[in-house]
Amino acid sequence: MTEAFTGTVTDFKRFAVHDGDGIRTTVFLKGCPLKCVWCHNPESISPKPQLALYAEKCVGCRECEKVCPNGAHIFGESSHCIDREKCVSCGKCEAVCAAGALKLHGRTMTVDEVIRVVAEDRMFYETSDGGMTISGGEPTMQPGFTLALLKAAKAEGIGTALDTCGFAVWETYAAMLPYADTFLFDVKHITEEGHIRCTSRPNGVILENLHKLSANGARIEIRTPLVPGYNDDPETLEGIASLLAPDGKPLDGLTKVKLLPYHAYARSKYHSLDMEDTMPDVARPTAAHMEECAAVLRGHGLTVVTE
Amino acid sequence: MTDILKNDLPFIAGKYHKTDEPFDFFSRMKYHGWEGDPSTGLDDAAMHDALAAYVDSLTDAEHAVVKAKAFAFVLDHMRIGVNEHDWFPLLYNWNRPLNFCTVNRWHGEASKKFEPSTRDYLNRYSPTGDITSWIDYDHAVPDWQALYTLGWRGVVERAEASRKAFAEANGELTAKQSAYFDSIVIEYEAIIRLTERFAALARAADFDKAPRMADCLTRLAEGAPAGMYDRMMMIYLYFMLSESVDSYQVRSLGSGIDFDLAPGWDADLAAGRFTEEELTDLIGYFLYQWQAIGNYWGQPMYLGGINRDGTSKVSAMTFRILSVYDRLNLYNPKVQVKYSKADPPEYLDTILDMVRRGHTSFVFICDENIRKSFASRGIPFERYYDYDMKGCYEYALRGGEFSTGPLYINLLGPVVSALNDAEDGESYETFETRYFRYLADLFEGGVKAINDEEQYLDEINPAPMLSGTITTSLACARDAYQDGAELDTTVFIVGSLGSAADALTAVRIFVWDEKLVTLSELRDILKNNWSDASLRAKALALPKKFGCGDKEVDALAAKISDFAASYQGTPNSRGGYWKTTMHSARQYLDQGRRMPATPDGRLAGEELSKNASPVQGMDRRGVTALIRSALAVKPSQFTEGFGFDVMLHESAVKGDDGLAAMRGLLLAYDAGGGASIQFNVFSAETLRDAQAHPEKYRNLQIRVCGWNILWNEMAKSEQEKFIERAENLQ
Repeated sequence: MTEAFTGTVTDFKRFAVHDGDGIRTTVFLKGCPLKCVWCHNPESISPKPQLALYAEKCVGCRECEKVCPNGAHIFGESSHCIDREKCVSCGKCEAVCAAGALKLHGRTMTVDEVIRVVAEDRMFYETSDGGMTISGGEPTMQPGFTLALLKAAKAEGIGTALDTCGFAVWETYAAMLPYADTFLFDVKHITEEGHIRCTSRPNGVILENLHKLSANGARIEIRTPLVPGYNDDPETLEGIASLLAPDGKPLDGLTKVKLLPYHAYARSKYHSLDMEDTMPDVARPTAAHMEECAAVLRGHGLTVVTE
Repeated sequence: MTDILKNDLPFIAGKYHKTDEPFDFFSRMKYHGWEGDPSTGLDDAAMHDALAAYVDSLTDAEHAVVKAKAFAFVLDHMRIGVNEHDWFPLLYNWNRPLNFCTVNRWHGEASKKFEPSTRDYLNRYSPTGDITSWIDYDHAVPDWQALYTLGWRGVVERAEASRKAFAEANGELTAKQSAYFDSIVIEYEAIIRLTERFAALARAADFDKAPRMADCLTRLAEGAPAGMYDRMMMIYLYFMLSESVDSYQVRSLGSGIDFDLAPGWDADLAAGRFTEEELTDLIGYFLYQWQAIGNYWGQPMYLGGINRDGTSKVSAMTFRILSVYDRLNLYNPKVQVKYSKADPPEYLDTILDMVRRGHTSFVFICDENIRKSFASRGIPFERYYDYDMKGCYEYALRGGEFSTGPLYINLLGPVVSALNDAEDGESYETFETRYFRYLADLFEGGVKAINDEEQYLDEINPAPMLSGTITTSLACARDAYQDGAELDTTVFIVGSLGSAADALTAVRIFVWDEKLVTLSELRDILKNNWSDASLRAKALALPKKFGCGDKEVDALAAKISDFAASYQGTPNSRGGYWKTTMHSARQYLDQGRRMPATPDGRLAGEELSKNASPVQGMDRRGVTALIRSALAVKPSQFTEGFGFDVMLHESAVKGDDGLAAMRGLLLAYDAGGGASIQFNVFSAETLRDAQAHPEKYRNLQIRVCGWNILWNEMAKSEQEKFIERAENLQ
């Protein structure tokens, strides 16, 4: 019951212009069932709040140490780290960090609180056909909260989009279908083996959900991160193309496919959270390679945009 | 378009200063590029001596006539030139040659007449950075439509007819009234003689462009301009003569340059004077003159607007100009873009696309909101629908309103004064009341002082060139810039709103909310230039900053803004009234240099927030929050202008999504009551590369407070602030 009205929010991104139509506010929720090796939001994988420390910004004032109830901040002569066993992610230290070196990812918010933040930018949605996008993590990990957010946004006249990896029970999507204007649906690999290699999970339920969403009138934008050595080979792309346009015609409701080039900008986030850095040590795909990949999909009659 | 970039423009770039020698654009008129034809006139030293002797020999009492005669002397002895690379001639003696023996001398004489209280006000508040003041002759726009219709000769004839009509209605003219008409006739007859000399020089030249240049100049010497090239030539000559000889800056090229040039395009084609390709080239040659002149603020011109019936003025000519501007990668003239729902969508999209590709010279003007602002002054639609944009963001009735900008008020200044007087134990409300009392002193003292000074504008610098174009001025025989126009207004130029709101908020939090320091302790810390470094770090890190969409800080900023706007309508001494613009120009640097440390975390001497923008880097909650903060202060309540800058990261504006997002921002700003807005689109990587390799980025511009600054001209510390800002966007 509680979950229906509160959820754990990682962060908000305002002026999100690549997460659906127009100008949007993206609400990132905590928790994800997948573990994509390239994940660029590692702070949203765990469902629990986490404290990040950007040590290079720390000026050594030790104000955090004074307010920490558990003695989790450890200072050496010129170092600062966090004892993860002791840290309970209460956020007291973030509030006193003038240098901006500490950031708490994940706080409990009510539906009303989230919608109030989102509604602040209503004027921009109105002039750009934008709205709210719920992303993550994986929003369907908090199904009741996500559904309540979608309903509340619609009641406020704010457009909605759900950014999902597709890994959830169908009933969750069925409940959200009337309240989500667009599904931003990830297709990361086509074979089960490949999908497990990339994300640690099989993709059967994902493909099933995609077909069901299409059959039930959803508006769908496919998003595929292109990661060299993982899913950018012609065979995989041909497979993805056949999935999305089985008879040379896009699935019902499919508006476009967005190919997102892999980048390693998120590496510092892993370090800030003391998480194991799983990001592949490969270069960002070149614009020419992105176009080659797009051409494969276009060959199947799909509308493709690249970033 | 032919390859004029390669063939001619590199030569034109050196027309008014040598491009391979150091150039200080603040003293641009002191330089020479092309030498012109020495046989046609005097060099600067000879001009100076000859003019001094000539002016000393004059017995006229009226300054208008003395100035006009000096103007005519300069034009008659001006060294001129034509060049095979250019469609527009050279004026060699362009360093305001007559000022030393006229305007400057008369300024000294007039200032002796100023009230002692005027001096007290200026002497008290200038050194502290609370105000900056000078007598302003920099905001004139002639009635271009009258010039196109009449031509130089028509102006002379109309002035004579006006003199006659005035005498018939009012009896004998006073000496001042006679001088007024005399001065117009003397100056425009001199302009005709100079135009004839240009025509003769071109006629005698033997390069390809010369015959048609000579024909154009002959037409202008004899009558009204016939086509697009003629109008361009007229605009160019008027500009040069007014700015560089008559000492009145011309703050818009045309009254909507697309609207003004459109009919001439067809006329030139129909008469067989030029082909379409040649006319396209001519647009490039014309615009390039201002890159060559090199004024640091960027020469303004504007596009778009509406016709009397409410339809858009955007035409094929608008897109031709944009296309040339884009292809030549121009940044000067800068362009004000009037936009409204009446315009075709491709107008905005074309310009937004240029902006995101690095064109920083565009400022977008919410046309409908500005029109409402005119209506709020009780002005009828027929009179304001085609208002002129001038300067950086200012608006004025076309051919009828001259607003001076003599007083820059620093909204942060009174925070220091309030803090100096505050007593421990007093309430925040008492402290805030002190702030507004000091602010009131700046406004009210300013009105008194400037109203005193401005009685003497036409005694110091009469404006015959300008007055000759203005109907109401001719009808009453009074100088247009003094008090002869339909409206002669005076402007409070108000800046550092973000700094002021942040500083007052920080005082409230530190002294009253969190009780970290007393007022006297804070005063001591600031006197020692933030001796408490950790408190300063707190001040900088406070989440409550203007530009973050914080309702409390925005409400305080709105209160300060409303206060500044409430002085609008106060009578000035020129038969008009005061207006307000939220615009810092360069004062965010100059006043900042004079100011001590302030509670917002600023160190002594550091820059202030620019225009209505937040303190650099303090808009930490993104562009939508930033725009909400700006809208909270009701931009269109300022009847003279409102400058507001937004920085966007390259990645946010790429692709169709990015263009749609830019359009969405603009339309939301417009719908929320915005006035003007400008964008800088950069990434931190680009700026870092530019810092490391200046040679690769000679044309990289940053738009600051209404004008562009070349990246390479910025101080390293300023560059760092921009880079820091760009990093925060990611």
